[in-house]
Amino acid sequence: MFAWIFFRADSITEAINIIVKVFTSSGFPFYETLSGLLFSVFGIMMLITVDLKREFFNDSFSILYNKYQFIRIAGIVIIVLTILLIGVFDGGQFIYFQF
Amino acid sequence: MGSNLGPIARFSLKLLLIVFIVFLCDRIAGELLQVFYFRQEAGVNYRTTYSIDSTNAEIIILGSSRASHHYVPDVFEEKLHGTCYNAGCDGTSILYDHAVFKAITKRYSPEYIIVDITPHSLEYNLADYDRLSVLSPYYSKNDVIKSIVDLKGPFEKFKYLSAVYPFNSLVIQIAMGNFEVYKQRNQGSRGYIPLYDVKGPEEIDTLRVAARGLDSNKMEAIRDMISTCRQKNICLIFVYSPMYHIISDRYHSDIVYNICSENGIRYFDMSNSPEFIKNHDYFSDGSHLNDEGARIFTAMLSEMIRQSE
Repeated sequence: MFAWIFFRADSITEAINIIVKVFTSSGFPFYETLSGLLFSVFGIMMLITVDLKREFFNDSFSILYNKYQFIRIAGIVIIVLTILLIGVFDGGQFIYFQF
Repeated sequence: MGSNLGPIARFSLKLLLIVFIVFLCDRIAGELLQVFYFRQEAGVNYRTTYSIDSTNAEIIILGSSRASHHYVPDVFEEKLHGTCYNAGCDGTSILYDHAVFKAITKRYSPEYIIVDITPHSLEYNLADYDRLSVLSPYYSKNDVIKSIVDLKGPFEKFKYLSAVYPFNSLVIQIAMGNFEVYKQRNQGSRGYIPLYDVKGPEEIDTLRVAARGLDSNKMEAIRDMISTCRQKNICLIFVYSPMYHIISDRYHSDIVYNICSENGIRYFDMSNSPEFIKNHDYFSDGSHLNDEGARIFTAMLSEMIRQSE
């Protein structure tokens, strides 16, 4: 987990400062904005849903491989619109950008 | 799909159908988002819309969160006897200020425009370009905004072929801005957002400014603000408002100061003003004054503006 701090920080000094603050700073857990928090919750819920579906209901239902063309197309349209609506399009937000 | 068509023709037809449906849904969703976006009557999006489209205040404040938390319109109105609107916006840079400045000065000429600068005002930072996305909903509605948002990159104009893209990441804010409870809770005082926390009495630290290069677009933004204000007879003032950090590196602010000196523009550096640096009670955190500090700072600044006239 701590490796990600070194991965994202601008310098070793900054990474060490962050780790020190993790253990020394007090207060309410940080979240930048309410919408950011809700988007994160949405993303995590999506991930858990897909995992649960694959684990327990893998053969029961599929959107992109459904036998009905209408459902397949609706699935593709919803995915494209979701990417346009909540996808990351700006380089600076991307964690690998600095490499 | 006729069964006598070959596989490539069938695939192409299906692809065209999907593209058409995506296009249609994108238009419908985009129109809906636009209606609800511009129906907001509170919150950060509303403040940006009001700054761009509606304000006709005689005193305009521009800047980042330090502007929105530091400059109290009530105090300016009392001391300078003119209407005031605080158009500061969290996390933004001089590029955003320039866009709002151009949109405002295209409509009318305020008496004063006060621009709050930060220690990083002129440095190149990709995140500052990313943050121009807060102006995306105005891209197709306002030519001056479009010209600045296009600075984000050469592909930006293609992204706006989608009607949904301008509202990327804004769905929750739009929903909240349309809730009646949120509207009542967030009726800001002419753009000013007071902070009420009091910073703890920790030892003051020295602010380190990362060694990034100068951004020519930001330099150009400042020069354009100066020349526009000169043409339209607007009193432009740059202010470096108080911080609870020792500022040892003044590279960027010195450049702003030099440009101001060359052009006869007023520049007030109150970043390490003794009244504030010795009193942590005036701060909410190292970079932001709380309401008490903001009112004292605005009163002091108003007096300095009056005396310098």
